[in-house]
Amino acid sequence: MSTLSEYRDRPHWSFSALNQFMNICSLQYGFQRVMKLPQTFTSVNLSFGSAFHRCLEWIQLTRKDGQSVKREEAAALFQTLWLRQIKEDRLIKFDDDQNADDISRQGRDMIACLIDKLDPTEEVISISEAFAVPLVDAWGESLETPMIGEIDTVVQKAGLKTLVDWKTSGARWPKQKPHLDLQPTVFLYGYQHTHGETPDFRFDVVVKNKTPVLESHITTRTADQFNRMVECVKRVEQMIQAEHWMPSEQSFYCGGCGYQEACRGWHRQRARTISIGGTDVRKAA
Amino acid sequence: MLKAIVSYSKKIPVPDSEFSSQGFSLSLEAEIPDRDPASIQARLHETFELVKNSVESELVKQNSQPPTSSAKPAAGPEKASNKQIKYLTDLAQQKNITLSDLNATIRKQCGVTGLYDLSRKQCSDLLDEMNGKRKAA
Repeated sequence: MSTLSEYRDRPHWSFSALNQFMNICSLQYGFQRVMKLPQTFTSVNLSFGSAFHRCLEWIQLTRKDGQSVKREEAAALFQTLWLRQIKEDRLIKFDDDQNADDISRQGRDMIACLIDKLDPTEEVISISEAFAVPLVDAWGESLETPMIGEIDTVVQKAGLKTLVDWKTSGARWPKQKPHLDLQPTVFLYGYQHTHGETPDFRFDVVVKNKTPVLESHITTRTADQFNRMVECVKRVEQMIQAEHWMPSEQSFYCGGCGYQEACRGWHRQRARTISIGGTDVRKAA
Repeated sequence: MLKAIVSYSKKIPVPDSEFSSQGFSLSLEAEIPDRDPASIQARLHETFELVKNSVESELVKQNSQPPTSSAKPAAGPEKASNKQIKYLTDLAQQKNITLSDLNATIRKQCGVTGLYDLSRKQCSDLLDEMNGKRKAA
């Protein structure tokens, strides 16, 4: 089986790309993935999430090897990973009332909270399992661009498998979110096409309260929801072809977006296209 | 001042590999004086010829040069392209072979996990087999 970075070598779809276009901001998608503009800063949530994720990978590997995870050891690892992350990421933008030490403390508390809630009867089957599958519509027609992804972990309890994705969140999740979220649809679709079965999908969300809380949200998806996702990809492909970039003006995500400057000037930079003898000529605005 | 984006792309077959091609393209953004349509057309033609000739001359150079030591070392056989795999899944669909059956065949016959782990050669052999050009080994 190839790794995710090997699958990334070919043109592909991913949950993050699809979600960015459909639910975050299609203009941000255009800036990042088509125009390939550099971001002016990195959101602190993104950097924090990366360090947290790496630490959880180690926790699950330790569990998979049949060893117990010590909370002090895991918290110390988070501290190391966080310090490395802030060196790696360019220009992290912190919130007004935050600094790197506060976030380190919060991360260690969140890791400790998660370890306290680990289910010892749950067996870890796989970690960071990559997939690449064709997107096939309800009529059996496949798209040229495959869907790729990497499943954080697959666990098994009483013979039942569950795909698990780790999240951190500033607030408790609304009840309907796991059932409407695009990620379980994409990942269960990938798993179904790779393994021939559709297990449950669980979000393990550590909420950044003063005393962190772990929430687990279980959901699943039907064949009809898979078909709907493929239809969405088809429409998105047409919209990208037509350079359909639209700013998502009052989005919750704008504060953490590294394209704020490009976005502010976007409507002034547009060029218009005129046609002379069948050749497109772009007239600068 | 007008701005023109002139592009030229060319696809050539990959030697010894069926259903595969390599694409080469060049785009040039040029400013053109905003005069009469005839002079704009002439300038576009001139720019297009420049772009086209540049691609063609790079292709000639590349084909005549031995691989350089800075070339990326091959990490195993080249993987099947998305186009090849789409052709394979479409063919399977025409022959009423389900995707899970196709995946099972791939695992058994080629020893890889999924469609996108197939090499160009493996994919090409499967296509031949499905088209009845070759029997399974």
